[in-house]
Amino acid sequence: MALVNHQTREVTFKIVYAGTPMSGKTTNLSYVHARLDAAQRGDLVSVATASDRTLYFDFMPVTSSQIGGYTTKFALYTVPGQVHYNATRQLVLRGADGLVFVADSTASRLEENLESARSLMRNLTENSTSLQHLPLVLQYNKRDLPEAAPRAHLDFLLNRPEKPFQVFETIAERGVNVFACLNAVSQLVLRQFHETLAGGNPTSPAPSGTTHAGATATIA
Amino acid sequence: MAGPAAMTAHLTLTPETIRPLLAALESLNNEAEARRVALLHESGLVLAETGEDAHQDHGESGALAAGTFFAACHLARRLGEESFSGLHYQGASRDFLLTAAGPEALLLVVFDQRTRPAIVRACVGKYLPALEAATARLRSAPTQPAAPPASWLPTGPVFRETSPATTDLAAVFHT
Repeated sequence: MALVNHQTREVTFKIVYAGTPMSGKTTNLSYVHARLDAAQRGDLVSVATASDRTLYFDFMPVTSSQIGGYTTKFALYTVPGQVHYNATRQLVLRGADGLVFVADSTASRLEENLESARSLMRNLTENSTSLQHLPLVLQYNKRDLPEAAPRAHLDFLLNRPEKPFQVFETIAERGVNVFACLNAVSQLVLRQFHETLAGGNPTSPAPSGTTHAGATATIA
Repeated sequence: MAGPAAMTAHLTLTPETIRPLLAALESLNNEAEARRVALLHESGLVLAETGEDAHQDHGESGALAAGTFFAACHLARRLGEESFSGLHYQGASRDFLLTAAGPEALLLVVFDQRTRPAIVRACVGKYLPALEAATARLRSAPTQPAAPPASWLPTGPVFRETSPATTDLAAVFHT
């Protein structure tokens, strides 16, 4: 659900980073905050515990250059990964225009990735939305760890819809592929916005994972 | 709050739809002698705002206000309160009142010692119907935006990474 303001010539979208607890969602946002031109971003607001675990959400507004005469803004959120923050997660997911699912590549955490993905799917269902209408990219983080599972294992667990999602192998602490992932989900959100206004007819062939309308669209 | 149909349509602000919203917000702000009044979407987006401190941030306050509202709402429900409609925070120099404004909007009023909470509440009650009606019009079909041309879609990266010299993640997070 975009907010289009013709008076100020601004369009605002909401992108949510969801995923496994401690998988690096907040690290993604803090890296973007550190590396984005200060004129293009606001403050990174984090509602966290004393030990820096995300309690409610992290939030950072970012602004892209003008697109078609309109300033395009993205409100970037993370949601807490822990299972017991389900209600919080569901609230923050409301009105989202795009999702990044951050999975932890550590082999011993594959089951947690699966549970987080299932929990996200339940949250979307309860919000009356689905991945058929909501662009999503997958991020396999912590690829530098020696105990990282092979990508094929993560794909087998999380990325088996008819039309696979775009995947980014990242090392968020060092920023590897963090911007590539943000750019990918931003592009998908813009394309989806354009497609919905044009009556569901994409203006050009969609890249892999852009839209899952009519296809099985689920992770896990 | 919002139903499935409302979740899919875009919210569109045009000069025609924003005028009654701003008029109601400005009247509320003046009559209540508040410092700032903002109408928020439940997702945290700022729909319209007015007052001396308006536009002071880039949406951070809207996100936090929406989070605060729903956290308080859930707490109230757990405590047995079924009809939660808002909350009042009383600070040393600033107060704020957060209340539901229709099925998918929230109203944030920031005020200080120049006025009293009871006056603010009375003014909110007076202007809520106008704000709810104006908010509902944002979803009506004639205000939905037309499709921009395909050239509207960016061909390059939406965001570009700046030099590595600025990276200090610990400093970013603890300041």
